[in-house]
Amino acid sequence: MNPNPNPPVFVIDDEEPVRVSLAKLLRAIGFPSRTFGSAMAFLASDALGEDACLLLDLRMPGMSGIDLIEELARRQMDVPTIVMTGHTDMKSVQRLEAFPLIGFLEKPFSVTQLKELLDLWRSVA
Amino acid sequence: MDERELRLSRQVYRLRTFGLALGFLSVASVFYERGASRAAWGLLAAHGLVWPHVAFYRARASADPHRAERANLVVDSAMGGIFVALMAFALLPSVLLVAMLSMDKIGWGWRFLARACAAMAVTCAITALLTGASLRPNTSMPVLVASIPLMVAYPFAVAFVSERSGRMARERKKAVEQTAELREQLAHIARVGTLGEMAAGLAHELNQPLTAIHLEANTVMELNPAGLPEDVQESLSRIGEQSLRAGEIVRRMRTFARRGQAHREAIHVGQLVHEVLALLDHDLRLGGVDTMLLLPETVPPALVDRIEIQQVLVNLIRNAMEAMTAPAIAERRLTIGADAANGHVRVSISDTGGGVDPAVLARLFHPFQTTKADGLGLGLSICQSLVEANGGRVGAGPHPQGGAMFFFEVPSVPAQPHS
Repeated sequence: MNPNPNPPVFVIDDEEPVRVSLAKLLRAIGFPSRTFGSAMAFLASDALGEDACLLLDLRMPGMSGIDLIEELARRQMDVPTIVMTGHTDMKSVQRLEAFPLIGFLEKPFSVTQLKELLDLWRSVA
Repeated sequence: MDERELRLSRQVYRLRTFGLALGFLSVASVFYERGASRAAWGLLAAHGLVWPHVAFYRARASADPHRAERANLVVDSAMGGIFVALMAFALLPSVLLVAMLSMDKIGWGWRFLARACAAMAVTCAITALLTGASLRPNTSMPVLVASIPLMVAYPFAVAFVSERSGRMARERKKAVEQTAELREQLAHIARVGTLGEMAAGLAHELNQPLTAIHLEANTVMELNPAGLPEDVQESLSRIGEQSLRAGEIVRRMRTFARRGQAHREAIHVGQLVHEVLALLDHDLRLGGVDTMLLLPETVPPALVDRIEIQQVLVNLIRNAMEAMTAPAIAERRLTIGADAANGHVRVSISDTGGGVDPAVLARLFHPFQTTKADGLGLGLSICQSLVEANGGRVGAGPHPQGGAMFFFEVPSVPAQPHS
C-alpha cells in the first residue's frame, strides 16, 4: 500500500450545513476531504479502509458515531478519529473511554482547536 | 359493599343497639309508672329491641349503605319524638332521649342534624295531638334511677365512636394530602425534566448552525489571508468569535437546567407502580382501560430515586393510555410487569393500542420527536434521561399480542446484606 502523502479527512455528520462548511474550511486550510451524511453511507462507500482521519459526529439518527467506532473496532480497523458532538452527555463519554481518539470537539468548536487536532494527527501519521 | 362502609354500618349498629337498649329502659320506667297503652308498649318493644337489627340488615342489603344508614338515623329520631310525647314529656328521659338522638348525628354534619331534629319535632307534635297527652314534665325517683345508665354510658359510647371516626377521617385527609404532595413533586420533576430536555435539545439544534457560521467566517479568512480589507477581516473574526460565544451561552443554559442531586433508596417497584396507579386511577377508569399487574413478590427492591422513577412510570402509563384512545380499539388493556434479571429490575408497560411505527422506533427517545398533534416530544426523552440518571436503560418494541411495549431496567439492591 502506497502511503498517501496527503491523506484525506472524512467528515461524517448528518447536519448538511456543518458538513459543507467543514469541507470548505478543510480545503482552505489544506486538507482534502470527503463528506458522508451517515455512518452507514461511510461503511457502504469505497472510502472504507483508506488511509484517512475521521471527523465524526456522535449524535446521528440510525447508527450513531459511537456505534460506528465500535463497529470499526469490531472489524479491527484502526482509523484515527476526531469526535464532534452537539452536546456532551456522560454516558457517551464513558462509552468512548475505551477507544483511542485523537480528540474531542464540542460544537461549536473554534477553527484553532480543529487545526490543533489535525496537526496532531498529521504529526503521528 | 366495601370494607370501610361495612365497618361504618357495624359501628352504627353497635351504637344503636346499645343506645336504644338504654333508652328502652328509661322510657319503659315511665310507661310502667304512669301506665301506657298496649300499643305504646308494643311500639317501644319493637323499636328498642327489634329495630336495631332491622336497620343493620337494611343498610347491609342496600346498594348505597351510607344513604341507607342516614335514612335509619332519621327513623331513630322520628321514633324518639313519638316516645317523648307518649311519656307526656317526663323531663329527664325526654331530655336524655333528645340528647342521645342528637349526639349520634353530630358527626354527619349540621344540616343532617337539623333535619333529624325536625323529624323528631314533627312526630312528637303529631303524637301529642293524636293522644291528647297531658303535660306531666315531673320525673320520679325510679325513673331517674332507670335513666342513669343512659345518662352516663351513652355519652361515653358516642365519644368513643366519634373519636374513632374522627381518626379515620384524619387518616383519610392525610392520605389525600400525601397524594397531593406526590402530585406536586411529580409535576416539579416533569417541569425540571422538560426544561432540561429542552435545553439539551436546543443545545444540540443550535450548536449545528453555530458551528457552520464559525467555520464559514473562518473559511473566508483562510481563503483570503491577505486580500481582505482590514474592516472586513475584523467583521469576519467578530462573526467567528460571537458564534462561539453563543455556543457558550447555550452550554451554560444546559448546565443550569441540569437536574439536582438524586436521592436513591431501596424500593420495590411494585409499590411505586401502585402509588402511580392510584394517581392515575381516575383517568384509567375514564378511558375504559383494564389494568393487569404482573408484579411478583420475588422481585428484589431497586436502588432508585422514588420520585424520578414514579415520573417515568407516569409518562409511560400516560403514553400507553393515549395509545388506546382510538374508538376502534375494542380491548384496552394496560399490562405492567416486573421481573429480575442479572442485577437489574426490569419493568415493562404494554398496551393494546396501535403500536409504534418502525420508522419512528429509531428516533423514539430523541427530544422533539412526537406523533401527537399537541405534543412537545419530550416525554420519552425525559424518561430516558431519568432512567439513565438512575443507572438504567429504557427500550421499546412491539408487544407480542399487538400494541406497544416499553420497558426500563434499573439496578436492583444486591442480594447480600451490606453493613
